[in-house]
Amino acid sequence: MNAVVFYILAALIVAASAATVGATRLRDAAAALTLAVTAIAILTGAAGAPLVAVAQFAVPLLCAGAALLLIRRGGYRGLARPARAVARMRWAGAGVAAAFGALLITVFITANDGWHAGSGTASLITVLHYRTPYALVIAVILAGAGVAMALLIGRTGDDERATDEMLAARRRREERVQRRREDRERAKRRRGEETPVEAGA
Amino acid sequence: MSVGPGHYAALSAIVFTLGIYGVLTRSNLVGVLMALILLFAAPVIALVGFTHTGMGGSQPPLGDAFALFAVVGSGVEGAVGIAIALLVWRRTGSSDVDELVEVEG
Repeated sequence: MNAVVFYILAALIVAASAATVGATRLRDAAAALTLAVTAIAILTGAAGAPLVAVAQFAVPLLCAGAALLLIRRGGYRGLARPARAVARMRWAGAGVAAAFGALLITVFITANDGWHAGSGTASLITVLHYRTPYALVIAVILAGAGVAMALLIGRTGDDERATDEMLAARRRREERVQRRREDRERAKRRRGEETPVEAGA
Repeated sequence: MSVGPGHYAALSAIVFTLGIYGVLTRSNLVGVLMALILLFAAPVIALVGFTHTGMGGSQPPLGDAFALFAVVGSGVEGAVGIAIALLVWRRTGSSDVDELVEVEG
C-alpha cells in the first residue's frame, strides 16, 4: 500500500477514534465511530483483504442501525440522553489505557523482526474452507448464539412487562417515601425556626 | 517508503488504547458499547496488516480468517451489549454507569 494513503487513513482513524471516546454528545460519538469504522474498512480493503473490509464495514453499522432503530421506535430515547461526558474515574482510566498502550508499543518494538514467515498463496475463502474451518464454524455458532442471547435478554414478553411495571411501581413508591421524608424534615426545621419567634412574641 | 507490519501494529495499539480509555471513562452505557466496538476493531487492523505486509504477504491469509472472526465477535458483543443496556434501562431507568454501580439488587 502507498505510504501516503496509509498515513492519511491512519490519521483519520486515530482522530475519529479519539472523537468517539471524547465526544460529549452521543450523536457526535456515533458519527465519529461510523467514520472510524469506515476508515478502518477502507484501510483493510486497501491492504488486500476485501472480504474482511466488507464485514468490518457492514457488521458494526448493522449493529448501530439496529440499536438506533430500537432506541427511536422502542421508547428508549432516554437511554441516549446526554450524560456526563466522562465517568468519575477518568484519570484512573487514562492511566490504565496509557499503561496498555505503552505495553503494546513496547512489545511491537521489541518484536520488530519477529513477524511470521511462510510460503504459498490462497484466497480467504479457501483458507476458511480448508485450513481454518474451525474459525468459520465457531464464528457462525458465535453469531447465532449471540443474536439468540441478545433476543433473549432484550425480549419484552408478558412476564418481563409485569416485572418492569412492578419495578417501576417500587421505584415510584420509594421516591414518594423519600419526598415525604424530606417534606417532614423541612417542616420540622421550619417549626424549629418559628418556635423562638413565637416564644418571643 | 513502504508500509510494514510495524505501522499496522502501531496504529492498532493506538486504537486499542483509545478503546480502553473509552470503556473505562465513558459514563453512558451506549458510549461504553461504542468504545468496545473500537476495542474490537483494533486487532483487525493488526491481523490484516501482518497478513498482507512483509513476509506475511507471501502466505495464505490465515490472519484474515481470524480478523473475520474478530469482526463477528464485535457484532455479537454489540448485539448482546445493546440488549443488556435496554434491559438495564427498563429495570433502573438509568444509563449512567456510575449510578448503576450504586443500585442495590
